[in-house]
Amino acid sequence: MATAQRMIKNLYRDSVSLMQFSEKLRALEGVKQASAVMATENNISLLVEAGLLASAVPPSPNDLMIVVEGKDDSSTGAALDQAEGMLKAKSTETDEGGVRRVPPRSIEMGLESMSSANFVLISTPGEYAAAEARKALQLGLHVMMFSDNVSIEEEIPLKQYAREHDLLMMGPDCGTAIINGIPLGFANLVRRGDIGVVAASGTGLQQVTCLIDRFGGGITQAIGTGGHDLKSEVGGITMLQSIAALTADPQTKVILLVSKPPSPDVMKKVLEKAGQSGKPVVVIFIGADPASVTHGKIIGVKTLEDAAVAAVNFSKGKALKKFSNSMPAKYSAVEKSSARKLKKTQKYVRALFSGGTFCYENLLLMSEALGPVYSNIPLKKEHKLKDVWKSQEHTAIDLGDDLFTQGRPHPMIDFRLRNERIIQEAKDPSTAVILLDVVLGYGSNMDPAGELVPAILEALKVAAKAKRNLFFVGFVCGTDSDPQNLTRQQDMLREAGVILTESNAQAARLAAAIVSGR
Amino acid sequence: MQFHAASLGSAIPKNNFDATIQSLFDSSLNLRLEHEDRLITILISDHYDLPQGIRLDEKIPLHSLTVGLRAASRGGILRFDSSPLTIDLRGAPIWEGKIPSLILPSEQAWSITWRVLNEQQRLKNTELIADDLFQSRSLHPPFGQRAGQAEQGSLLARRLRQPILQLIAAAEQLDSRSAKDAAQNMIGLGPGVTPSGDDVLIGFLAGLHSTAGNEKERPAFIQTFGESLLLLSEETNEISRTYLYHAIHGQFSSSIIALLDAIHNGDEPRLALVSKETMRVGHSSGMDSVTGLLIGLCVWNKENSYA
Amino acid sequence: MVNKLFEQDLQVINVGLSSFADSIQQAGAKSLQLDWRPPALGDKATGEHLAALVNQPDVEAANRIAFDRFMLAQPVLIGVASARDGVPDFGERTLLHAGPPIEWKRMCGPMQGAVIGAILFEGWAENQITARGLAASGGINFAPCHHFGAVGPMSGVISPSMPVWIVKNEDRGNLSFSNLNEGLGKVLRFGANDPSVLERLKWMAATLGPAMDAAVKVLGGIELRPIIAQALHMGDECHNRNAAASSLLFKKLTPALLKTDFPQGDIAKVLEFIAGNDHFFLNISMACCKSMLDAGHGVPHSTLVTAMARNGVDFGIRMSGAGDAWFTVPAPMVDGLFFPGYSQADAAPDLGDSAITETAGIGGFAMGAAPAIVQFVGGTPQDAIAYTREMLHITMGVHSGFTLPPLNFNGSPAGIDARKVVDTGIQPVINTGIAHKDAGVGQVGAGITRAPLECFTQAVNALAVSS
Repeated sequence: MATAQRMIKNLYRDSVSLMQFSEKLRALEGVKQASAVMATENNISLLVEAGLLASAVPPSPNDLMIVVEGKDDSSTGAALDQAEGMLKAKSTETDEGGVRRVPPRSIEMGLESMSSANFVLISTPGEYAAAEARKALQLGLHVMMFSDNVSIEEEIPLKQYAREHDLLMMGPDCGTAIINGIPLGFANLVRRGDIGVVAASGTGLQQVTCLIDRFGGGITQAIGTGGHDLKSEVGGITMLQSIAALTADPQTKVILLVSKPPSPDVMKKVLEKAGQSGKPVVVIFIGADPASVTHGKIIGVKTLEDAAVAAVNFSKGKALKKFSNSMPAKYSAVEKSSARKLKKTQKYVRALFSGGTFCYENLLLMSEALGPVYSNIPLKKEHKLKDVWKSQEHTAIDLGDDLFTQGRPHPMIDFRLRNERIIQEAKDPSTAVILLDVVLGYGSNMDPAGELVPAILEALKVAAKAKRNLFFVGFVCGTDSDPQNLTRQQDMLREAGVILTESNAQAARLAAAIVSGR
Repeated sequence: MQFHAASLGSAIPKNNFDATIQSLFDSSLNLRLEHEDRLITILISDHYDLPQGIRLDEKIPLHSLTVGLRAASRGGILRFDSSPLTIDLRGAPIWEGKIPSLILPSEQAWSITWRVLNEQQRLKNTELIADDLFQSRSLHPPFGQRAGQAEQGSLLARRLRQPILQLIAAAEQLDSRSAKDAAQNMIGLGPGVTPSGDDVLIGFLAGLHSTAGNEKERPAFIQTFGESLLLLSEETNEISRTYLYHAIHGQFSSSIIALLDAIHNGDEPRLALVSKETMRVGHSSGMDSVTGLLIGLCVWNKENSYA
Repeated sequence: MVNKLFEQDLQVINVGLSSFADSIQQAGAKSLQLDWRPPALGDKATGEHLAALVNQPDVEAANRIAFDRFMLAQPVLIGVASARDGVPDFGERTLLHAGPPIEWKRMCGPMQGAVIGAILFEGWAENQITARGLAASGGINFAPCHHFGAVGPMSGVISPSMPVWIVKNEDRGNLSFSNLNEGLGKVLRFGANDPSVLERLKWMAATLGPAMDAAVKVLGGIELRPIIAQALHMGDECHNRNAAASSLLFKKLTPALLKTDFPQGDIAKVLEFIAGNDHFFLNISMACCKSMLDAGHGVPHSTLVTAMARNGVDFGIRMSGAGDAWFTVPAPMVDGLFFPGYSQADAAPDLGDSAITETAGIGGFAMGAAPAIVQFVGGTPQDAIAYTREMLHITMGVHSGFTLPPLNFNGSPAGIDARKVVDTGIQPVINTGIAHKDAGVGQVGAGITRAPLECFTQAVNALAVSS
């Protein structure tokens, strides 16, 4: 006879299944006696008394102690292994008769369970993503690939195959899409309507769709192309395909394209295709001169907000207004009063972004108004931050950059890095305005305002101690239907003293105006 | 996905709180509160309340949650990290969980409940059968004496026998040190996530609380004994410790309170029903606490007819 | 199809972060979360080769052909002859063995013991020492049974004078062979080679073989699929449990044997011999499976697995579209339950051609129909059904001829697709006996084992590269 024991740490099962578990344990081959109890001091001495433990072990009341007595060491060892396996096994589906089913492992096996599947969403590590996408496309399914770190050499054949077979290949590096009203990846729940969006930027897509919703419009589809689609080598395959699809879609009356400026050859093809649609097309190539785009039914705009406004105007048949390049008048009062309260040392804006495209748009607008703005993704090489962990003069950083996200969740989910940076900026006597983007929607943190407010309050305290006023400017990108409760988020931020604007562009212009006006 | 709490135990914090998921079961989960050393419980039930409970009467998708996940209540809405699950606590009625005032159980009510208890324990083949605790000594007539029988009952029953007798004597004599010594041998003892020894102590406390009356030595005894129990409870697991914490403060589950009510009213047909209901909680948890409860009810009832 | 997508309800298969699947459901669409892990244990190159083959028109077409040929096979037992006479091209100094190719010096204990026994039986050497010398000298042509259209359980050693079952696929004409089962205990296939073993072998060659041949010819041949099909309805799985099939065979052979003009004494001994061995049918079952799978072998681009075999050192598979190639890895130990007195330390690695039964969809694949087997290997009837169900995910279809009562008479999962094994990570399950690692001791346990994944990744890589 041999006895053996094992301690399972911090594993909580309810008492009913603990009992069933003990019974199963006793029924194992080679087991004479067995017991599974919480490892309290009294239980340990009970086990010793029962002869199941040779001598007392240090108690740890929150752990589960399994003891078996069996015919020899190998059967007790085997029983303990099986026991641990039973405890750790995920509960898999069973049918009547309690026969355990294997949960689907491969896409093909998934089709056995869900035969009318039409879409595959891939977020595996980058090295495996292309193979999964290939299988999905070959099985006749549309693909969205959230994974990044997939090479252009892998991306091109996938998109070519997709084009040949009239399938969507969104990505690699496509973090956001809304198909048939369903948010995919990091996306918002947006009103349905008649505007079709194609975007090479995730947060760009989020901003335009949320603003469209806020301005009373709605979308048919918001297709993500992935971050590399508009490079020369890829040639805009997915964007061209999507424009064609939206052209053919009877529900789509207005098309909206969002991206950083593509390479010239790709831009030409895209605009040509857009022109052939016969529908009004709003194009925001962030950073490009709108005039270079505007032609016939194609309207180029300067900011993401303008794009949303234009699209909704087209949708509602309203005349297209002229877009202003300056901060909206409604912020004049707060701009002036804030500027007045700044000390001489406080000269700079520190913009801390979770969305890369927001950072980019901000750099364009702020540098127009203020001159050089430093960043980890600067417009000009010479404005690259010497040390990304420390701001220089006007600074706008993208916290979603690999540099910051190594081994950490994305800043839209995990706020620790941003909160630390907020305090750091508050301690810096040259900081005047801290600018923040707050992104709601599926996939994002469930309470961004709740995460940020303590840091904001702490920052204000830090500044106050040094007899400084500190100003927070921000905007919330989200809709009423998002899970985070938009109104509550906005209320919490305002209560903490954040000046909220409606969009990234407005926030950039307001922040710039505050520091300019001092 | 929004859900509404059907009722809140009195121990649920009224203001914003932060917590971490400590354990997950089929129809309940425990949250460890950030700044306090206790748990609160979210349970799915259409009638069972706990002082530390947030009761929901519809099924929620617990599978989207994992142990270790953070949760927070802000403005009355409880949310979980990376889960769209939300529970609206606002407007839910507060359930107090306090023991009804002085009860004097009739011998009949007591006996019926004791009988039902032992039947159920034998049926379910639990390790602890209440009768086994008392077969070698006559304490009160209801317990009876079975002379000449060898020590019977499981190892657990045999281990609990002496401490329980010591506990009863200590409570009779209002000797809180002796009570503490007895409890020391019961804490964390037995199978189950809430070990049997703990459940017996909890039931015992319910019995004491409900018969303490106004004489100040009894509440004082409960107070002192309670303080030492609080320290002793470190030796059992977190989940059981929370139940002990509330019991020490005179707060119990709705099923214990319902049973005390039924015993007090003496309405016999209903009594059997309510007792079975209470005994159904957990695997042996309910029965163990009823064991403790019935023992506890006897301690200060010497002046009663059947003593 | 993109525009069609806009009109459909979105139904998403989610590969990766499960929170995405949850969000989709919250938003009101259907999503299915995969229990995904990198295929081929994370080997990216294999993953890419695999992706190239999934739902590939050439491969799909080839598999349809291969599977149909496999399914349409009609194996008939047509007689018994000596290996020398019955097996085409069987050279004189040839010894066949189970599993993929292996040289003498690497062979495991039981197989070496069996080889020595065969040498002595043939009279090529006088005693153990000279037999060993001969084996090591290079004077014997060793070859896998499979290379000659044969299969043998455990060591599977077949020598020229030994009688073999001859099975003919009436559909395509291919022939398959297996030796006759010696019974349990001290037998050649476990490596025993003392005079009693040799005596028995001589009797089998002189009497048993010819008697069986005569009986089969009286019957005009025995169709094998109906016997297996019926046995599966009686609790056999025809690899580790053959009692019903052996009884059914006995019923057929007895009247036929009595009609031959063999001496009564011989007939009695023959019948006694067969009746005393519940596994008598095993070798025929194996030859039948070999016959069906050979029919499906050799279709270019096909990923149908046509053999799984072990020689006690290596585990190897063959694939229809990969020609004669073997894809081998070191054989795993079998995780099983041991007879009293024995343990893992006594066990030989997995040995024998009998995994041909699983390859054809019976044996471990039909475990759901043989609950008795499961007790023996430490599970419940529910586990048995679960194993069979699991195999459905890696096979091309179900067997039209072999149905399983506990699974509502659904066909047994049949036709292992090497791509699916690699894609899902689900390895084929095999019911097997465990031999003692020393020659001549015999069976020491039984268990359930899985074919190693690396064999299938090798096969997938080979196919992708050659396409």
